[in-house]
Amino acid sequence: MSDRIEYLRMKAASAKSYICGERGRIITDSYRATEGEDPVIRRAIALRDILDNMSIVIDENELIIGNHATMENAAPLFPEFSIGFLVKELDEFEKRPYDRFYVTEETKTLIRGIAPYWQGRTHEDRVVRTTKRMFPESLLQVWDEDCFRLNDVLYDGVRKSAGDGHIVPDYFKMMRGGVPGVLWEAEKARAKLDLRKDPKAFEKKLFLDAVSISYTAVERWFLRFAEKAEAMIPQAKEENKPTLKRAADCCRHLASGAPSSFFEALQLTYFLHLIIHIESNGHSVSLGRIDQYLYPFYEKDLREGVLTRREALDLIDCFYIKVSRFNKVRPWPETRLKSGAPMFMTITLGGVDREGRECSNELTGLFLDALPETRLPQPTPILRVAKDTPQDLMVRAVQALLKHGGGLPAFFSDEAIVASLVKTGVPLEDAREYAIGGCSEAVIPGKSFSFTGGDCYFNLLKILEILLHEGVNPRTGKTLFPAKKLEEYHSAEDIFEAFRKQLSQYMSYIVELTAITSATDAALNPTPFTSGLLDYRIEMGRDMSLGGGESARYSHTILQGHGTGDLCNALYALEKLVFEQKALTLREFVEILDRNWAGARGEEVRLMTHRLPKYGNDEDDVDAWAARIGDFFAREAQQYIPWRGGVFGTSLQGLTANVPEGETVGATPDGRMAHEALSDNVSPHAGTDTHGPTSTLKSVSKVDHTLFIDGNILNLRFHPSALTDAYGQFDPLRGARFADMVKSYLVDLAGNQVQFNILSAGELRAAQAHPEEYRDLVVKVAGYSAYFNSLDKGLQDQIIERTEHAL
Amino acid sequence: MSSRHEETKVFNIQRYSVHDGPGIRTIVFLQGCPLQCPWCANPEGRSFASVLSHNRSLCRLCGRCTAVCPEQALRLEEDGIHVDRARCTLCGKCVWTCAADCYKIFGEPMTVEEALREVGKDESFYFRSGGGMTVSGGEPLAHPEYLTALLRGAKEQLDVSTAIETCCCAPEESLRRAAEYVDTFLCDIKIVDSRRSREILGVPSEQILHNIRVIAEEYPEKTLLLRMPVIPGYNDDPENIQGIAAFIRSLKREVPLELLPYHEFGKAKYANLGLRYLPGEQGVAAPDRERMEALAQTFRDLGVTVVHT
Repeated sequence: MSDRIEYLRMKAASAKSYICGERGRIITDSYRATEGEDPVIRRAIALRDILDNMSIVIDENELIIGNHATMENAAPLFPEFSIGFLVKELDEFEKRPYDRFYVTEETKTLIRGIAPYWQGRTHEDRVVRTTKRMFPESLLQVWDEDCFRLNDVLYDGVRKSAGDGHIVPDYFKMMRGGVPGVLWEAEKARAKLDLRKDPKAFEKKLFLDAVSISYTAVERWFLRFAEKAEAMIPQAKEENKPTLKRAADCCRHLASGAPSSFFEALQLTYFLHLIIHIESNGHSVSLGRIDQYLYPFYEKDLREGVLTRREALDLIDCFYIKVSRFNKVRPWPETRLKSGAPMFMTITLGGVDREGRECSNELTGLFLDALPETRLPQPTPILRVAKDTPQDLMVRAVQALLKHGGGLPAFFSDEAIVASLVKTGVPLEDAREYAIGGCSEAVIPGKSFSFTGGDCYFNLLKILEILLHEGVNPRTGKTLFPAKKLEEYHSAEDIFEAFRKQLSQYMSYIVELTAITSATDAALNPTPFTSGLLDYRIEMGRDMSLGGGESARYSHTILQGHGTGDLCNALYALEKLVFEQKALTLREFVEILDRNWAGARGEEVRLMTHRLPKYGNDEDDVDAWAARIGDFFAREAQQYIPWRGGVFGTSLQGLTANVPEGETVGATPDGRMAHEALSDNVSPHAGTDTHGPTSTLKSVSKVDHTLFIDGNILNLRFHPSALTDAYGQFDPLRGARFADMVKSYLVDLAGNQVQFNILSAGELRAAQAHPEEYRDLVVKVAGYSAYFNSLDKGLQDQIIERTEHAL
Repeated sequence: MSSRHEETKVFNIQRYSVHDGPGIRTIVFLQGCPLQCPWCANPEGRSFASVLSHNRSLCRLCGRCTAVCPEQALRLEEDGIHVDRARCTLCGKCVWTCAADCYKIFGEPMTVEEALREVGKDESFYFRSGGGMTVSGGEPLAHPEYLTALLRGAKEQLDVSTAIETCCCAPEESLRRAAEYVDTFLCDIKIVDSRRSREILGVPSEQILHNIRVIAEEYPEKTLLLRMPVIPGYNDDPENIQGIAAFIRSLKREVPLELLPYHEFGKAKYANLGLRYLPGEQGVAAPDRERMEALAQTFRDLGVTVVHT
């Protein structure tokens, strides 16, 4: 690896986060000038104004160029989505315990200056107004407006301050035609319109015009990069002159045609990814099957002798570093749910093709090899594991995992995921084309949206706590849905039945809740540029925010169930202690929980729960509850249809919400102390899986993963010695066994996903004590990785407490 | 044929083990060993009786265990809990009471069926990796009936590969009974000189070497791997190395040798069991890579095939 890469890498790892005002200033001026315009045209003009006027920043050492904001690592402003939190937290951003942002005085003045214009006009304002208007009084009294949380159980509206995101563009199409190809496509579609006879044609024309405005602006923007790079050449260091020249030529070429080399294809991929993040501020914009759509360029360049493997790897390193620089400022309550500043930009590698043939290639390996060279928290490459994934590729991925050290790549199951997509109605051939979007969502590139209305999180353990308090939320004293007296339960089955009933009641609101956000998007924030990256929107003449159409069936709105592991253990504890052993009554148990296990009797009962088998140890009796919880959650969601069409996709992943969500839940019968973090994702409660990794995998495999298209993340932590020899070097034999284990879980046991931190508790504790020495230590958190230093202390502790599997 | 309900003490069942036989394996550790290697990494399995372990590093000094112990075998002092092992009857009250899980009793009686049920749980992992069950100890051959039933069950009921990890100190008859159901023998070879073997390991070496020869020469279809733990100052002297090499060369088939560098992973267990850890007291240091490579070269020069270490 060259000095260039190391320089760029450390620059990325050590840059401070700033808030950049430039986009905010430009879009405010643009919106002022387009009052009353049709929203789709208005958005296109706004993108045009931003691209035409934003600063162009190039570091002469870069091989891949492009900037999101004026400064390195800065988050641009999106006042059209939310201005309130920016003003409210303006002096707090620098004081955050993590995910800190620096704001210059100039930017503060700018934000205060534009705020009055946006007041009442933002996406957030409209979402809040609509919610208040639509919610009955009974809901409003248990609704926390700040976090958009209903009775501590149902979280929504993490989408009130941001745009949509959550797509995988059709990069195959973009590689064939480039930016001019989309303009040509729009031109062709416009020519077919019959404005005199088709009443829908007018709206279609508006959309197609918006596409043309956007993509024409993109061509000009490419030329601005070419000019900037050319202007830098005379002053540049000798070794950088040819690379700047190459970048400039590439930008000129991309402004007028499709990419013709691996370098140009990679640069175009980055530019498109960047513009999506300039047009709107949704996250989970993912890069799709990059080893597939770039391979023809790589193969041709290699064959023609214009590219070596090492040069390709350098370019990929630079690409990773560039993608790692995206930043986004979120309101504090939302930041807590996703700490570590993630953008959820996933890259999908390997897997089967449309015909079901395993299709990994040389690039698959190179994208894995770049991981240890760059050791960054994002992007998030994942490996699709199929029955025929070659063993040497598996071992290469495991080696990358060890040397990257921060949990990448993660592994996903073709077996479970293709089956899950087919169950929702996606044709088999298309299902096989899936890529992972965001954390763990299976989306069909160029077709699916996986977010639509904003995700809804369910704190499943909280529902049990409320049931055990006869319908009252003990934290607030309020009741939303009444529940039975404790004496009326005669079995754990009775309690589960009541749980199902409560969950159904909460779930009955998901359509309205997500529709509010979706409808607001359609009214205020169409994304004509991003729509042009999908494979059918132009033909339809309809912005993606409107949903609908033939491909609507590919779309899903995410519902996440949180705390499955804890709820499973809690139900089992009630079953055993209260109803079978009759060691205490349900009421006595609840009184003990209310005292947070204090007192001699409390300690005695806590010990009893501690001695019970726990989820994660391959004990059928316990694990059965997890399977039933998952099954009910997934099936219940299937009866609803989201505003944009498609299905509600379910997931048992939970980002970092398990820490703040745990804070709202008192002690629970699984032995958990009050306010302790919930079990993360679909993982066992930290530290309670004590029978080795295979037993954990077995336990988790008892959940029917084919019911969850949006992914069930499983976190495992291994001591590095599990993959190294006595002298700390990668041991191919251990690597092969580890690969076998992963494959058994994903292929033979049809698990959904598994990811690892290969770090000892000792090293993590050292990083906690001496953060300055571990600036670039990366860990896997949920569907994403993050710098360890950038995480909440509670979350750091939880990662340390995860069971350390060793050999 | 032994009863399938026979019990023996098992002190651990470890899933996802990758260095004791091919593939991903589950290791069943049987309690009790005729040898007394001072460096043993599993001292909890040496005695044929069950043993109580107390892990001081987890102890929160709450003293609850002292209150529940009916024999007054536990005492809380400033430096932590002291266990009077002469008084302890292994009743297990402390194990249940300790919220920090400091206590553990090693050597729980387990039937063959119970052990097989555990082993069977990782079937899918064996299938893909070519793994299976390894019986270790302690010394598995010290429990010939149980061992044979267990191996036979693994073959006939689970259809997985089987291995035993043995010091080979057992009557030849025990070995022959089990051998029918064993695919892979992992045999320790520590010290060849019988006098020195008796001095350090507590047993002479003749029976051990004889058994290895029986496996090598009378069971040619079985995989055999010899493994030498390299313990500086105990068995890495030139004389022993030459002795081991000479013995291996004298076998009628080529048998590979694996060298296992001494490590201190077992050290904490000695303290937990109230035992002295001699290598620690004597300051035995783990051999470094250069030393291990040099040793491997020495064996190769002496005509021995050395495999992955």
